[in-house]
Amino acid sequence: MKKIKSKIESRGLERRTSEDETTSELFSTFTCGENENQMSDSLQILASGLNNIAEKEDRVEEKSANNELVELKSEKNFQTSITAIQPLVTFQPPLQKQKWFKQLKWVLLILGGVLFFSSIASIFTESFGITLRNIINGDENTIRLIIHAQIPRTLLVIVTGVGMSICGLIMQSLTNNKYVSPMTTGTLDGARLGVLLAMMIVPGATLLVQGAFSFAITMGTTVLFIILINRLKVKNKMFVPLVGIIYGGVIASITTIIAIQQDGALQTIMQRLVGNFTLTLSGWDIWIPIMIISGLVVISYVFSNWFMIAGLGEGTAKNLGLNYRWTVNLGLFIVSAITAMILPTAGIFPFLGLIVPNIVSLYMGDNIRRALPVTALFGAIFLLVCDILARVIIWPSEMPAGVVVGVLGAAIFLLLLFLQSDTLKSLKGAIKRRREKKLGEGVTNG
Amino acid sequence: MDKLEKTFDDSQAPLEQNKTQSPIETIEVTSTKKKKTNKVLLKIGAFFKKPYSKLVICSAVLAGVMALYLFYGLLGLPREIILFDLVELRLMPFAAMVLVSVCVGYSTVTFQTVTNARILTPGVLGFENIYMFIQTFIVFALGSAYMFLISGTENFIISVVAMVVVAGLIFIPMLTRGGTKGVFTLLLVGMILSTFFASLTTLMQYRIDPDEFLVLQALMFPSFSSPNSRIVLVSAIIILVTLLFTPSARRMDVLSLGRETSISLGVNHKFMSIRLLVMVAALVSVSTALAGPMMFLGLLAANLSYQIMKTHKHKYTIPVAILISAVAVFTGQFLIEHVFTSPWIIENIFGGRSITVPIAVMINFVGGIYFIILLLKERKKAK
Repeated sequence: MKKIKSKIESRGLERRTSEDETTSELFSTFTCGENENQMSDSLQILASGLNNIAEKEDRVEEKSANNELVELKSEKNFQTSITAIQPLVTFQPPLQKQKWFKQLKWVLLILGGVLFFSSIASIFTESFGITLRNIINGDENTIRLIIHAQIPRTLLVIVTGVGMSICGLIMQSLTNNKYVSPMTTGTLDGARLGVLLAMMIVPGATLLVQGAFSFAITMGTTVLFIILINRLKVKNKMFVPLVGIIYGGVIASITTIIAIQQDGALQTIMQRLVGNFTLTLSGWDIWIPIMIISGLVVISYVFSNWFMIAGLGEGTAKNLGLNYRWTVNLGLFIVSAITAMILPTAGIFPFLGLIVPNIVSLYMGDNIRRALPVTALFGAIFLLVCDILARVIIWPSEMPAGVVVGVLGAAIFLLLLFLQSDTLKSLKGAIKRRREKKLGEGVTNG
Repeated sequence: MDKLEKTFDDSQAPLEQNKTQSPIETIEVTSTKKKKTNKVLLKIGAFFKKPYSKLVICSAVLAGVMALYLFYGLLGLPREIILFDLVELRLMPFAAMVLVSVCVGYSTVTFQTVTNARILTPGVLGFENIYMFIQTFIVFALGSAYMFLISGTENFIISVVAMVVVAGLIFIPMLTRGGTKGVFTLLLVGMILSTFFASLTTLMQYRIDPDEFLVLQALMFPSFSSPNSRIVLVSAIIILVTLLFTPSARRMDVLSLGRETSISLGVNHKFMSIRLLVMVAALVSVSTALAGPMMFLGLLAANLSYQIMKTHKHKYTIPVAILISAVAVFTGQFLIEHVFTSPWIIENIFGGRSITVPIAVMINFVGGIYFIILLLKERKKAK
C-alpha cells in the first residue's frame, strides 16, 4: 500500500492544488469566451486568459456556494464535457502528508537560494580579479566590468538555461514523448540554417536580424516536422526522435552545402554548434532576447496546463474542451521563438532541453504546472554551474560552456538511467528479500 | 536443425512462385488475340521479378558505374598515362570505396535484423565520435610525437580495436538483455554517448598545443580521395576475417522473426545476436576509420534493397544492399570528381562558381530525403 502511495506521489497526480483548479476554471471560461466572441487575435485570447485568472477567485467562491455540477450543467451544452475533467483533477489526496522535500514551495525555495548564490559566484568569476575590497573602495574599472560584462552574462546564462529547458518540457508534453527535445526535431538545425541565410543575405547582420531570420526558418522547419509526424501516424515513441534525427540531418546537409561555398561561413556555423558566453557584453542585442525570452517563459507558465492536456492526444484534448490546434501552434511558436533567440546570442546547448525536464519529472511527476518552475530553476542552475566550471577549468582562459554541458549532462543522464535500470532494481529487491528473510528468521528464533 | 532450416526455406519458395505465375493464368483466360505478345511480355516481366535476375541487373548497373568512374576521361590518351592514372590515382580510392560499401551494406542489414527495426542504422550509435575521441585521446595523453612514431597502420588498428571494445562494452549488453525495450534504451544511450564523446573531444582539444592540434586535424577528416595503400590492405584483411564468422543466411532469416519465434525454431538467439553485433561493430569501425561517417548510406541501401527484392531473405537482401551502397558511393564520387568540376556545368548551371560538396554530405542529403519519402509512402499503403 505504501508503495502504491509513493508511486502516486511521484506521478504528481495526488494533489488537487489551487493551481489545478485555476486552470480547469481557465479552461471552461476560455472555451466559452471563444465561442461567443469569435476572437481571432491571439493577443486578445491571451488577455482574456489573464483576466480569467484574476477573476478566478470570485468565481470559485460563487461556485462553492452553489452546487458546482448543477451550475455547470445549467450553462452551455458543451460545458458538460468539462465535467469529464473533474475526475482527472480531483484525485483524492492521500491522508498521509507529503515529505517536506517534495512540497513545491520548499523545492522552489531551495532551488531559488542555490540559483542566487551561484549567480553571485558567476558574477565574481573573472580572470581580471574582482575583489570585494575593490568594490567597496569604488574602483571604477571593477564596477564597470561588473555592470557591462558580468551581470549581463549571468542574466543571459540564466535566461538561456530557463529557455532551453522549458523548450524541451513543452515539446515533451506536446508530443507526450520523453525523448523529444529541440535537438531531435530539427529545430536547432533550422535555427542554424536561418543564421546562415541571414549572414548571406544581409552582410554584417546584427544578432537581432539573425534572430529574426532564424526564427522564421525554425518556425518553418518545426511546423514541417509536426506535419510530417502527424502524417506518419506512428504510435511508436522511439520512431519520432529517430525521424527527427534524420530530418535534422537533411536540414544540416543543406546548411553545409550552402555554407561550404562561402569562404569561412562553414567555420562560423560550426562554431555555433558549441554554446558560448565568452563574448557577452551589455547591449541591445543582449537585452532584447533576454526580455523576449522572459516574456515567453511567463506565457508558457500561464498556458502550461493546456500543453499537458494537448499531450493526451487530439481526441482527448478536444473532448476536454481544448482548442487543440491553437494550443499546439502556441507551443510551437514559443519553442521556435526561444530557440531562435538563443542561438545567435549564445549558441547551442545539446541536452539541456532533453536532460533537465527528464530529471525533474523523475522527482516531481508529470504535472507540468508543478514541474515547470522547478524545471526552469534547475535548468538555470545547471547552466550557471557549467558556465562557471568552463571559466575555472582552464583559468585564466575560458572554454565554451556547451562543452561542459555536454560532458556533465551526459554523465548525469547515464547515471540516472543506470539508477532506474532493471538490474539495479533487481539487485535492490534481492537485498531487501534477504534482509526480510533474516528478520523472519530472527522472529522465529526469538 | 538442418531439416528445420530446409522446411523454412521451402515454405517460402512455393509462395513466391505462385505470385509470379498467377497474373499469367488470369490474363490468358481473358485475352485471346494478344495472347502471344502478352505471353512474351509477361515472361519477360516474370524474368525480371526473379530475385536472381534482379541481382544480376544490380551488379550490371554497378559494373557500369564502376567502369565510368575508372575510365572516364581516359579515352584517347597514351597508354602510359592511362596506366599511371589507373594504378596511382584511381585504384586505391576504388578499393576503399568497395570496402566501405561492403561494410555499410552488410552491417546495416544485419543490425536491422538483430534489432528488428527498419529505421535503425549502426551510425546512430555515434561511432565517428568514438573514433575522434580515440584519436584526440592518443594525442592528448601521449603527445603528437607518438603519432609520428607509430605508422598510420598501427594507429588504424588501435582505433578499430578500441572502437570495437567500446561498442562491445556499452551496446551489446544492452541489446541482448531483452526485447524491444533494449533497442529503445540503446538508441537513447547512443545519442547521449555520441554527444558525450564529442564534448569530451572538444574539451581535450582545448588543452592540446596548437602545433599538436595540426597533427590531429589531419586525422579528423578521412576521405576517399587519398587513402593509404597499407591501410586499405589492412582493412581488407580485417573485413575478410570478420566475414568468415558470418552465420548462414537461413539462420539470420529465422533470427529476424523475433526472439521467441527464433528460440522456438532452435536458434540460439542470444549467441547469434552477440556474434552479429560484434561483427557489425568491427565492420562499422573499419569503415568509419577508412572514410568517415556514412550515417544515411546504410539506411538508403538497406531499405532500397528491401524495396527492390520484396523479400526479407538475407540471401538476397545483403548482397543487394552491398551493391546499392557501392552504386551510391561510386555515383556520388563520380559526380563530385568529374561532373561538378567540368567547365560546362560550372558555367551553365552553377553560374561560374565552382562548387565543392563532401560526399558524406551529399549522401546524407539524398538518403535522408529518400527515407522520409519512404515513410510517407508506407503510411499511404497502410491506409
